[in-house]
Amino acid sequence: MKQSPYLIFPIIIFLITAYLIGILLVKTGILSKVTHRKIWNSVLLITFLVSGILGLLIAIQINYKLEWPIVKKLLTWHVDFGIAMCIVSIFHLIWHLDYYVKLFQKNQPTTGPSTKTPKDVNSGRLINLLIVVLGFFTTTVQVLLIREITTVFQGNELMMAWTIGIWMFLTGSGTWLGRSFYNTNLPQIVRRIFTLLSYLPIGTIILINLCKHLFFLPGELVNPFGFLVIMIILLAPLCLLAGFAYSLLIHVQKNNKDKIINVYSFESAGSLIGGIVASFLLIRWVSISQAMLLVAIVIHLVLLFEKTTLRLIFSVSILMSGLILFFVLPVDRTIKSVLFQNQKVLKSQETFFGNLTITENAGEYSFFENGSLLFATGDIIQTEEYVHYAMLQHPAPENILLISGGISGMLDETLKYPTVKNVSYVELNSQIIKLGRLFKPLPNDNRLHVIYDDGRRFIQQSNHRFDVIILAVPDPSSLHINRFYTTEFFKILKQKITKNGVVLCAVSSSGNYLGPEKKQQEASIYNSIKGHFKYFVIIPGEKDYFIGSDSPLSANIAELSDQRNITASYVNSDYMDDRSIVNRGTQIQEQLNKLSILNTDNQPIPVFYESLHYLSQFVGRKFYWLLIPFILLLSPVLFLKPVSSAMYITGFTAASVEILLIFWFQIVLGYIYAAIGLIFAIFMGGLALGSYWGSKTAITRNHFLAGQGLLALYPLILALLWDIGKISVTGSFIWMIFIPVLLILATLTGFQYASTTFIYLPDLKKSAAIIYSADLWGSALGAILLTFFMAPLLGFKSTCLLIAGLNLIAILLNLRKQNT
Amino acid sequence: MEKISKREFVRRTAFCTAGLLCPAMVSAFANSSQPGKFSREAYFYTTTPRGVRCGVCPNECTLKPGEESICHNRVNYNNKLYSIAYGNPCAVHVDPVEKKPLFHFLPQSRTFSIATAGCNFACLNCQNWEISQASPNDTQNTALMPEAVVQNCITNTCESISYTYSEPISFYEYMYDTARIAHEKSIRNILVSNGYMNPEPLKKLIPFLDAANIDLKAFDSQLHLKLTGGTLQPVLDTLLTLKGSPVWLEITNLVVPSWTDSPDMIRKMCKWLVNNGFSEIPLHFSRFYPRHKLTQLPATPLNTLLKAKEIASEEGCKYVYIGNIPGKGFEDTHCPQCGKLVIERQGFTILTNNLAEGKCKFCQAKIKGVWQ
Ligand code: SF4
Ligand SMILES: [Zn+2]
Repeated sequence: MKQSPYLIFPIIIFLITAYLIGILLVKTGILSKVTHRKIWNSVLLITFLVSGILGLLIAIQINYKLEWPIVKKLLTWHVDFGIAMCIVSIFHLIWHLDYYVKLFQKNQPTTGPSTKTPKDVNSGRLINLLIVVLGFFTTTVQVLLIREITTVFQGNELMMAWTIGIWMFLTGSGTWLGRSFYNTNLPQIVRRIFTLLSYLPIGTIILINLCKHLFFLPGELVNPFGFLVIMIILLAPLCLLAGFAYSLLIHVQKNNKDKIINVYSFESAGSLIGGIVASFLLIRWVSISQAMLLVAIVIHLVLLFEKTTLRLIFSVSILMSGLILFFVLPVDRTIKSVLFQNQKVLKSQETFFGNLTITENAGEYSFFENGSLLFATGDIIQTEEYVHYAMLQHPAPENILLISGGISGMLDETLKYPTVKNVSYVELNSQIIKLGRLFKPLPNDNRLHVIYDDGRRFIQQSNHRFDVIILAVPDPSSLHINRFYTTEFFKILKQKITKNGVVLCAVSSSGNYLGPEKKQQEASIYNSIKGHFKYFVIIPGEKDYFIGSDSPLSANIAELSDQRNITASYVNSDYMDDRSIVNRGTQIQEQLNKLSILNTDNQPIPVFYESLHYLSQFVGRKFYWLLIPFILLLSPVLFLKPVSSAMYITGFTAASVEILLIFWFQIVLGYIYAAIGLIFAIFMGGLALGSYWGSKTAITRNHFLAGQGLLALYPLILALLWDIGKISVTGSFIWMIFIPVLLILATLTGFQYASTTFIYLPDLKKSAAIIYSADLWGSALGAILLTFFMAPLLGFKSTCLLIAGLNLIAILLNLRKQNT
Repeated sequence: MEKISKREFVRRTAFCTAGLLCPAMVSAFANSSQPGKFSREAYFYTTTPRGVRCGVCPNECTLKPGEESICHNRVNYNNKLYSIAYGNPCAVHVDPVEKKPLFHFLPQSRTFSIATAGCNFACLNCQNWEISQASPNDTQNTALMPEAVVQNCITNTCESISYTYSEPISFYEYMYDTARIAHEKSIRNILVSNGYMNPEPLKKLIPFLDAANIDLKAFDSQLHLKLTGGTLQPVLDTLLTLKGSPVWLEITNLVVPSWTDSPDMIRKMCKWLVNNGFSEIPLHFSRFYPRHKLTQLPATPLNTLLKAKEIASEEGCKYVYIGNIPGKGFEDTHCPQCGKLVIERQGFTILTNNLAEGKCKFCQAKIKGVWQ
């Protein structure tokens, strides 16, 4: 926070406090409402003018390259006033929200009587606002809390997917519990539930950290089953209540079909805002606990807007002081220090790609990304192995490409070769280098070029050729990382290397014994590389290194290093026992030769074996234990009727296809953080649009069947789309295809929500709640199944077919019911 | 909740029962393992009213018919205890003897190393968890009866056989028989173990052993238990027994950050070693790497290891080494009397040798070890 030039939070906190005091004065009658608004309007005008004029001055200065020394100051004031203007205009927006809502519904004939009592307007507007806030709240909290959970529990992809699954499942269950809720004093209940809700995230964060500390030993890998149980218990209050709040808001609405579907549309719109705010603003500027407090304050402000009670004012001041405490004292770092016993936490910061924590222990630094150990300085063995096993194979390496891992010391090793002219080092998360540099400087050498980009994307777009390519990426445990191990990727690499070029990648060591899961994983990668190169060799070491080239290769590292004059402390003839290395390498290779499985973009099979390998540490080969959580996720099907089952399948389709699309996008265009935010926004926007459209349609059973039919047809078309990425096309072309495709999916899902709700039960409110639960339950299953079973085991295309089939079943179930 | 028809009810119940039964059935079949070709009746066990009780290690598993032991490679079959790891190792490699680590035993020789699945510990940081935490029924094995092991050792020009990687104590019968045959052919035997063994089987094995490297994992009983699943005292007893025998002994202490890196504990350990006459036994401090369930700890910092070495020397340990830190001279042997460099090592290579007939060339002090 210290280097930040702009006073974002002081301004926000100051203005909000001032506004609250203003409201308090109005409520107590000291200030009239009109005066209060006048004051704020003046503030708005002042901030607007100052920011605008300064902006104009800066523009002139830049355009005409004028040498004004004060321009830095001007810029600060321009931005600070801009921030203030933004906040004040939000107050303004809240006063006039109904105006904009009406604007949105302009082309609609008003359904009710045109003369509404003022009280009605107010409460209707407030409810809509609360719905948006609920969407905003749940999404923000979901994005950030899952990050925190992953960081604290050192979660891998599997655990992350399960957390999301549990989250959606519990939220759905909360809505289900509130499906028939009735109470005469609804507004008060709403107020209480929202107040409670706003405190839960920060409470959950504290409990999460506490649980990790109490129940798990330092540095210990968390038992997945224990993790599931803890997650269910810890997330239950928050998720159930959030789900319940959704039901509640449906019940608060007037019994009118537009209004009831509006809950879904507005909630999606809120999610859209929440997703963007969380992933672009909050992550950048505040810690997760601070963000949770901020979100709680937002809820309080909205509640205060409806009715100012002393209790609320008291509550919001507690939150405010909490927030100030978090800003002033290093609370977050203290919490993290507890997790990293005996290590000094030097830095813990949120970055786009996850939490980055740097610790120090007896003079060596460790880098943790999302709580998982990324690498540590002082690990000479692995650093040298990665570099020299590849570089020694080439007679005179000049152009080197290093994907990831550079800061651990690999760059220094590559620069030891006198022939080297250029080292390109690609790292996705720029913060790793920017923060890492403070503790472990990169070599100062003009042959070195650091590029912040997705490695695969960089290679695809590069028109250089390299002599040595080193892929120091983690094991292929996620769809995203597996992109660096597929046959398609090695084919691209083959085109980007010179005649004697060498490609090296590595997976964690099989040690003295190649277990069955490891064997499948390594075989699929082995076959994928081998196919593209004339020569291939496996060198076992700290990791199992896979090297391919069109020139002869050797595993006699001692011999190779003796021929060269490279000084390395580990990779040299004293430590390298060629005989055992060659023996073990051939042993592994013989075993891998027996298998013919391939790792492709279409079917990322190592991801599956990677998760089995991880799980086998806890359950051995007794994988049937996995059935228990799945039975839990599937259990709602027992209570669902054909119509609501159809929505379960729709939710399943939406969640799994969305992930599939992101995966496709990453293969074709690479991992782009901003794109993921945009994809999320498009999806949420589509949901809102689709449900809105549904609410305006006179739905019959045929609409519902047609919607489901389109959902069945959709994956089939998607399967055809897969190969478009293979033809080399431009980024804008991909976007042009991608946006409509995603929008269609989301709109269809939103539409199905409306249509299913209308034909399900005559009691629309209950129907809307149940259908929403079914949607979330289906999504929970879809998200988990897709990532770890369907995509890796069936592949993209078969998964599409399966999803199409499921939707057909949904249609048949409902047709049959109609006939009987 | 909506009302459901009778048929619907039956359908749901069937679904639920099927879901619950599946795992139960699978586990029922999985447990029906029988000692097959690779089994031998155990050498140390007692039949008790509660089942058969294994006497090899302090875990003293008592097994009912059909049950599998803690170490995964012993079963009660028809009320007899069987080892099911006899002659079916899952890892067979040829290693330099320095890799065990043994620095004062036949330097630069090769050792034929075997392991079967199974271990009587469950260390959080196990390097070989895929085999140590599994039963021989679940691993891919090579048929290699004791005679064949010895034969293979000879054809691979190895001077010794190492029982290593997982835990040889738990494949006691296989190790014992192999070691006996090996001695007949003048092949030496090396035990690489956690030392968690009962005195009786150890005494029976000692005549056939030539060297041992015992892991002293933590010098605090509670911590030892938390980290490994076994207590400390039996390991200390094994150390004492081995020291009083002709077997050449070296000790390894893995320094795990946040677990076993406290200087106080290391000092306590060294004091105990020196007071009990281990001062001339080589002590290897070895660098921890994130493995198995301790993957979220960074490797041991060099400074921590240096500190440990300093403490050990202060307390009077004469041969202290640091493993897994290449190229810094931590593997060299210095003469405890004149302090000069006797053996300069780099990994598996000896660069300088100032040792003649087991004595320091400079001052003629005896350097303990088995040098040929
Ligand atoms: S050797 Fe195995 S069976 Fe025997 S007591 Fe020890 S753990 Fe139990
Ligand atoms: Zn001497």
